[in-house]
Amino acid sequence: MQEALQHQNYDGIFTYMRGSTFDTVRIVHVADDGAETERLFNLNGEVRELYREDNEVHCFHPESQGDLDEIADHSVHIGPFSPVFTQRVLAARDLYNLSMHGEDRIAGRSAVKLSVSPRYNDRYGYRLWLEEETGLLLQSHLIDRGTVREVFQFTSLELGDEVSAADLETRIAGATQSHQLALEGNDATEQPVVRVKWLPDGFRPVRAQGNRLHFSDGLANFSVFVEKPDAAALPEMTTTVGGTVVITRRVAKTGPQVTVVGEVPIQTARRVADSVEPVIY
Amino acid sequence: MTEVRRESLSALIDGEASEIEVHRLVREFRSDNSLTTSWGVYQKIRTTARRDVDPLSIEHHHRLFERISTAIDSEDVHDVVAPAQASSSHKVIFGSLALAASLVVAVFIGVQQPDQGTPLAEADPAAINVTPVSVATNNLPEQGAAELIELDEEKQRRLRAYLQQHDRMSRMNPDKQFVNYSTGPERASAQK
Repeated sequence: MQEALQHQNYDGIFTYMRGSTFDTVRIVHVADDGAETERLFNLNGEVRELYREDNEVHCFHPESQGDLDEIADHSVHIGPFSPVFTQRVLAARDLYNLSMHGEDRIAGRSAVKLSVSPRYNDRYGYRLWLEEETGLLLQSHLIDRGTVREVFQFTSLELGDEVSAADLETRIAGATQSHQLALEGNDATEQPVVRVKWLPDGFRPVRAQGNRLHFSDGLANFSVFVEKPDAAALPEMTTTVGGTVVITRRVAKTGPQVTVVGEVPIQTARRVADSVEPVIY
Repeated sequence: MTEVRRESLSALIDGEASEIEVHRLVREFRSDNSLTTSWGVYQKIRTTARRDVDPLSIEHHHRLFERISTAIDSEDVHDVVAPAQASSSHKVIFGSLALAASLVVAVFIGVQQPDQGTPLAEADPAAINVTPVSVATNNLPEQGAAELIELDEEKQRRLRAYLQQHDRMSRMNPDKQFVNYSTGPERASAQK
């Protein structure tokens, strides 16, 4: 299934709805001899394109939008999951129940429907529709105890030979400005400044850098950010953006400020946030 | 993939393919990437789905699930209609929740107020939640006291940066960049 997403050419338009935000994105993906090239076109709101060659990502804006520093948003949604998500479903069987629910049709293509439900309510579940021949993810629902929180869906899709490298060209009319987006690497030289004492079953740390920790159970992810209290510090709050929870709290009165961001239920995120402690080296 | 090939593939997975079919498919696997992919997809899903069959049928699961959902929903109703019974500690948490919900409302969807008239339990469970979900997931009383407070530009930028960084990290393949040292509970003491 990983191959399905990485070694295929496809050109499609998908919508991604989470909470009150609604993105429509065109994605053109071309695989050539192991090299992946991809362009994402933000179709709702500001004109924006994301161009990726393997791990190098550039964001393009029309020059007419003004100064790069003034532009707030530098990403285009690629949907809810990493390219290896469907593959990881199989690896997470200890934590989720997996069942097939027959066939369906999405964006004019035959799909098999999968249900991935968590064994406990400490995380979300998923409904997935995979393209029958390639395993490409055509539609997904993020589910919190029976309520759909996020919907991702291809509305049109061309596969294989129908797609060529020419489709990767920019569609921004006139002059463009671009900048490279740094992919969060794994800088192990920077020791984390806090530790998380409690994690839900099956979650493990997958990336850690000074003020940022990232955890995953294979499917669900959450991040923990730590900042010294400063002018930009967020007030203490608990809220969600679509299925993404944001919880902010202060570690002790004068301690660092901790923010948990992730696709986990509020109770889970809160417990994680409450378990954060500073590390004294 | 043609229908015939798909059927052969399916038969092979089910262990019902004839020897000739098996040979043909194996030959085709070598030359056709998409067939290999399908094979992987079906094989894994089927074996997984089968191995994990528990004593309850899917239908049973659904029924059980519905019953549980209904029970949870009615719990919500109880909390919504009886906010006075909430403990004081709940109220404290709730205060910050309401504030928080409105903050993000201010940040992400302008000045749109959450719909405070309808108890969430009455909403169509299949519908997408457009209101902040704090109430539904925490079984806390309704958010009548919501205040609109705008985050200043710096705070908005930080929140956005967090969300974007989280998104980006979530999409990277965790297997390839696994950290060597743990910050988790098991090895927390080794950190010092």
